[in-house]
Amino acid sequence: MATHLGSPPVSPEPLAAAAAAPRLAGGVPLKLWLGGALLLVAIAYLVLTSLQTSTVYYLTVSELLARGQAAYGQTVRLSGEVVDGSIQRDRQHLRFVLTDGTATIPVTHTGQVPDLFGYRAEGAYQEVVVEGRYTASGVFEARSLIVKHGPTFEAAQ
Amino acid sequence: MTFADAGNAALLFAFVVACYGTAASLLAARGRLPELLHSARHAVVALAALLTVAACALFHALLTHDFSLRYVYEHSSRAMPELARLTSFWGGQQGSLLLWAWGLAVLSLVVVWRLPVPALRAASAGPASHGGLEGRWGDLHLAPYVIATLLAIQTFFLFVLGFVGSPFERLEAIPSDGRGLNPLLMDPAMRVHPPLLLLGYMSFSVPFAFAIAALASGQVGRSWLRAGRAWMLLAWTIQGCGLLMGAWWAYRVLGWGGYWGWDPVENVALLPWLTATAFLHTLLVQERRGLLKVWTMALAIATFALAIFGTFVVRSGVLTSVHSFALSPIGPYFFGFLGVVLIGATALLLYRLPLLRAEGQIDAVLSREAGFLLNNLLLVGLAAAVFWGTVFPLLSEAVRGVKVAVGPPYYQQVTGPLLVGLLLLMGGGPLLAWRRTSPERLARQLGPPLAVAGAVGLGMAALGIERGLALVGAAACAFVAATVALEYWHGLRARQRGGESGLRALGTLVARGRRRYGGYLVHLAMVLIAIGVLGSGHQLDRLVTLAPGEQARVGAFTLTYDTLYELRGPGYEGVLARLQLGGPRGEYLGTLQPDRRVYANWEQQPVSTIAIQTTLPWLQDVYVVLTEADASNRVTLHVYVNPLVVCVWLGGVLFLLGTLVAAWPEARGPRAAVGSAVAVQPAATAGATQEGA
Repeated sequence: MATHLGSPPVSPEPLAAAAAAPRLAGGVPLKLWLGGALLLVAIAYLVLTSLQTSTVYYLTVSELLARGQAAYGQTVRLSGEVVDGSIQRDRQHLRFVLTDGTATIPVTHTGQVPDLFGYRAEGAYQEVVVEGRYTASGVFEARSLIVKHGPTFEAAQ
Repeated sequence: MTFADAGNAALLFAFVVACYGTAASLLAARGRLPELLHSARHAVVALAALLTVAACALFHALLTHDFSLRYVYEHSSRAMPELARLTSFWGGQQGSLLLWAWGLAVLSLVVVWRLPVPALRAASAGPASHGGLEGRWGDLHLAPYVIATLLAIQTFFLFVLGFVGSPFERLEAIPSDGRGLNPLLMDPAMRVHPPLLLLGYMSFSVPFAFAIAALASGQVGRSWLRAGRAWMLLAWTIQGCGLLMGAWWAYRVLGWGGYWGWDPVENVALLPWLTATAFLHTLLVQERRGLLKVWTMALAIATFALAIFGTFVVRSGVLTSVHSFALSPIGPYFFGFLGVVLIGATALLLYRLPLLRAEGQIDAVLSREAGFLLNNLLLVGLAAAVFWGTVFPLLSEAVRGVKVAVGPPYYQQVTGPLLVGLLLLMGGGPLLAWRRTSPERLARQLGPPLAVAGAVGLGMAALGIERGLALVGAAACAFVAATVALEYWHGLRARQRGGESGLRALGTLVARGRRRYGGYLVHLAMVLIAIGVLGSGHQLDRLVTLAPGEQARVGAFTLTYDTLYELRGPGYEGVLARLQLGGPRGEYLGTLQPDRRVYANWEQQPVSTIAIQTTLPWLQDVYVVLTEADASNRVTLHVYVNPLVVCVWLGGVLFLLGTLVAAWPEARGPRAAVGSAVAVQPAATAGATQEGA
C-alpha cells in the first residue's frame, strides 16, 4: 500500500493509545459512536419539532358542517374533492362545490388558481385543500387553494 | 390475431419464461450445473425479445388509435400529435410498469452478456473448476444468483402486468376517440422525465442482484464490489438525471415559479438516490479498509426497496389517501413483494454476518473513514426525514384518524441544516487522510478554503443579504469550491513538476484518477445546485394587471405590455401576450411571449406556457405566467424574479459530466490498478503516488 508521503509517518505511540481506547462493535471508536448517536438524536429532534410546527391539520366537509353556526367566521382548512362539473370560472372568482363523499359545501375562491386545478384523479376530481372562512350564507370563502398532486392525470369530463 | 393480441401473448409467455429462468438459475447455482445456467441465460435473451414485442405492440396500438384497448383509450386521443402519443406509453400505471419490465429485460441482457460463461465441459470436472475464474463483472459463483435475482424481480412485474393490470385489456365497446393525455404532460421535458425516473428505479435492481448474489454465494469480495459500484453508479446517474429533468419540467410548465415542491412523488424518487449516494461513498471505505461491509450491503438492499416503493407510489395514488390504496388493485401485491424483498434480504444478510466482519478498525475520529461514516449518517438521516414526512399523513390518518398535511416548511426546516452539514463535509472530507490526520495538519490544510469561505460570507453580508441560511450556505459553497480547486491545483502542480505542461497535466491528472477527479466534479455540481437553491429563497413575486401599452415594475425590471394575439394550433386555441422586458437602466433585454391555451377535451384546465428570460449579470430569471386575459385585452400576469435558478440546470450538466468522468472505464493493463489506488489517496499525497506509477 502506498504510504502517506505528505504526512509524517505515524509513530507507534498514538496507535497503541488508539488500540487502548474503548471500542464498540465494528471497530468503531467509542467517541465516534457517541458522536453518531448524538447526530441521529439531533436529526430525530429536528424532525419531531418541525413536524409539530409545520403540519397542517384540516377538517372534512362533514366535520365542518357538524360544527354548525359555531364555525361561522372561523378560519379553517378544509379538504375534499371537487364535485364533477361544478367548476365555474369568471374574471374575479372561482366557484366550485367541495365534497367528502357524504356532505357538500359551495366554495368561492378569489386569487391565484394553480394550473393543476381541474384534474380528475382515480376517477374523481383531485383532492384540494382550501383555507378560508365559513360564512353564514353557507358558502366557504377561500383565500388559498392547494391542489394535492395526484398520481394520475386524466381528462376532466 | 392483431398486434395487440401478440403483445398480450408475449407478456404471458414472458411470465412463464421468467419463472423457468429463475428456477433454472437457482438449480444451476445449487447443483453447479453449467447447462442449466446456459439455459437461464437463454431465458434472459428470450425475455428481452418477448418484452420488446409487447412494448412495440403498445406503441403500435397508440400510433394506430386502437381504442379497443382501455389503456389507449384512457391515455391518448386522435387530436394528439404522433410524438405525444408515444409519450402516452408511460402516461398510466400499466404502461409505466411495462416500461419498467422492458427496461429491466434489456438491462439484464447487458448484465448477463458481461457475466462470465461457464464452460460446458467443465461440468464433469466438479466444483473445483469454478474456483479462481475471475470474470469481468464478477466470478462464476455470482453469475447464477445474479441471473436468478434479476429474473425473480422480472417474474413479479410480469405477474402484475399479465394478471393484475394488463396494458392490453380490451374494452367491451370500441369508443371512437380517446380521452387524451393531460396537456401538462405533453411538454418535451415530460417525454424524458418519467421514463428516466422509471428506468432509474429499475436499474437499482442490478446492484441489488449483485448484493444478493454476493450474500447467497458467500463471495463478498472484490468482484461484488466492482460490479456493485459500476451498476450503482449507472442507476444513480439515471435517477439523478430523472430528478433534474422533473425539476426542469416543473419549473417550465407548472407555472408556480419553483422547481421542487416536496411533493410525495418527488420525495420518493429522491429517497433511493440519497441512499445510493451513501452506498457509493461507503464502498470506498470497504474497498480501501475492509470496513463497514454490513452497512454497505444494507444500503444496497434499502436502495432497491425504496426504488420498488417509489415505482409503486408514482402511479398508484397510495400517498394521496389511505382510501386510494384500497382502490388500487396492485397495492397489496406491491406491498407483499416489498415485504418479501426486505425480509428475504435481511435474513440473508444476518446469515452471512460472519463473512462480513470488519478487517480492521477506525483508528481515529479525524480520519477519512470517520468522515465517510458521518456523511452516511447525514445522507441516511436526510432520507429518513424525507420518508417520514412523506408517509406521516398516511400513518396519522390510519392510526389516529386525524388528517394532516405535511408541507414544504417541514422539509425546508429539516433538510436545510442537514444539507449545509453535507456541504461542509464535502469540503472537509477530502482533506482528511485515511486512518488518521493530525489536528495540526488538518488545520493547516483547512486554512485557505476557510479563508475563502469567510470572505464570501462577509462579502454577501456586505451586499446586504440578511438571511442566515443564505449566508451560511454561501460560505459552505465557497468552502467546497475552494477545496476542490485546491485539490486540482495540488495534483496539477505535482504533474507539472514532473515536466508536463498545463493542459496535458490536467488531462493525465483526470485520466489517471477518474474516480477521484470525476467525484470532485460531482461535488462542484452539488455546489452549483446548492447555489441555485439558496438563490430561490430570494424570489420576488407579483401579480399585475395591464392594459395594452401599460408598464409594470417588478424588482429592477420593467415589463411593457404590447399586444395580445390569438393563438391556434393542433388540438388547442388560446391567446398570447407580447411583452418587452427592460433592465434597471431602461435598456431593452428581450421580448417575452407567455400564452394561455385551452386544449380540446380539457376545457376545465387552461394551460399556461411560461415565458422565461435569464438576465445577466446576476443570473436572474424573469418568469412570466399569463393567468388571465379579458375581452378588452387586459391581461393579468404573475411575474416572478428568480435569482440563480439557472445554476441548478448548469449543476445538472456538470453532474452528468462528472459522473461520466468517474464512470468511464479505467485504462486497461497494469496501470489501471494503480490508477484506482490513486483515486482514493488523500490530498497531498496524490501527486507523489502518481509519480510513483
